[in-house]
Amino acid sequence: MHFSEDDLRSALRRKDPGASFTERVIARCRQAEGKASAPRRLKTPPFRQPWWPLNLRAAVAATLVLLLAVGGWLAVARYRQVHEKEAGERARQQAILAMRIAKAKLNHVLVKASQTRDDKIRGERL
Amino acid sequence: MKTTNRSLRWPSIVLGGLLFCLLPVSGFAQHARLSLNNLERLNSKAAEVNDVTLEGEMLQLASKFMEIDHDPEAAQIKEIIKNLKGIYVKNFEFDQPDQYSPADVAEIRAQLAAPGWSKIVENRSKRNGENNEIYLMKEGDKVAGVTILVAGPKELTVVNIVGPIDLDKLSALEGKFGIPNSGEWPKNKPSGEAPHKKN
Repeated sequence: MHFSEDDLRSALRRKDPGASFTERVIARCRQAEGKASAPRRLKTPPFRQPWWPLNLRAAVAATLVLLLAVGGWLAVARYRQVHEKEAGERARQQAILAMRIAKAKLNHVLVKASQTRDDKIRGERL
Repeated sequence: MKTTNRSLRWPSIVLGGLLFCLLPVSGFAQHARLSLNNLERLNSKAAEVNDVTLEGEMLQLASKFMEIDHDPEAAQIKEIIKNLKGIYVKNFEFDQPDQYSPADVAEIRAQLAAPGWSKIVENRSKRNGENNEIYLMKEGDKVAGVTILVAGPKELTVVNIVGPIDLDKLSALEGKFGIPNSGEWPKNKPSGEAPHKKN
């Protein structure tokens, strides 16, 4: 196949690429850059991701809240248990004291009444 | 103005009537409870004061804690207090005689003169200057309350127990539970002296 000089001149002649050539080139370059950089981003470790610190903080905060809630609940339960035990022991001692006094005074009155009755009977006999 | 007064009169009469009808009903449950507030002022005069007020939840709690203790005598106390509604004790011991006034005792006696109460034991000793009384309140065949009043020259004690109580069991209690038995009084009541059997 032979090309004449005119053919070559015509083929190598400068052609106008059009007004949007620059934009098309820039767009193509960006597309190419995007494709090239996508796999690289996947290789970034999770702790280097922009969202990583936020997620870690949320996890720590949630754990702390949970620990505080459980700890608080346990403390309240323990306080109630101790408080009820103290109140119960106090009530028990009060009941024992009350029954002791009631018993002593009941028997005291009964003994005195019995003595008075015996004295009367003795007096009548004499 | 007259119309307004008339319109207000009838509702107030009806309301008053209702309240009048409800008063005895509401008071019936606590009928056996005495007001011992007048004795509060003796706290400062007394050498020794024992003041016990046990009712409602505290009484239930005391009963529950008697259960924990495996002492048989604690079981006796539990048995006595389990159905009670209230235990009120005021015990004053004085170093000097005549530290309380007859009016203090009279105020208690006035409450015991109310319908429902009956005096079952009375012992007055001029020699010792002691006035001892036991009052019982009954609702049908059941005991609804007991009051023991011991007024000596150097002592004033009021024991007011509200609810069904077995005086035989109370009298037969042993003095253990970590508190030594008082040597002043006999451990057991004299034979055949159960007060509620007397009358």
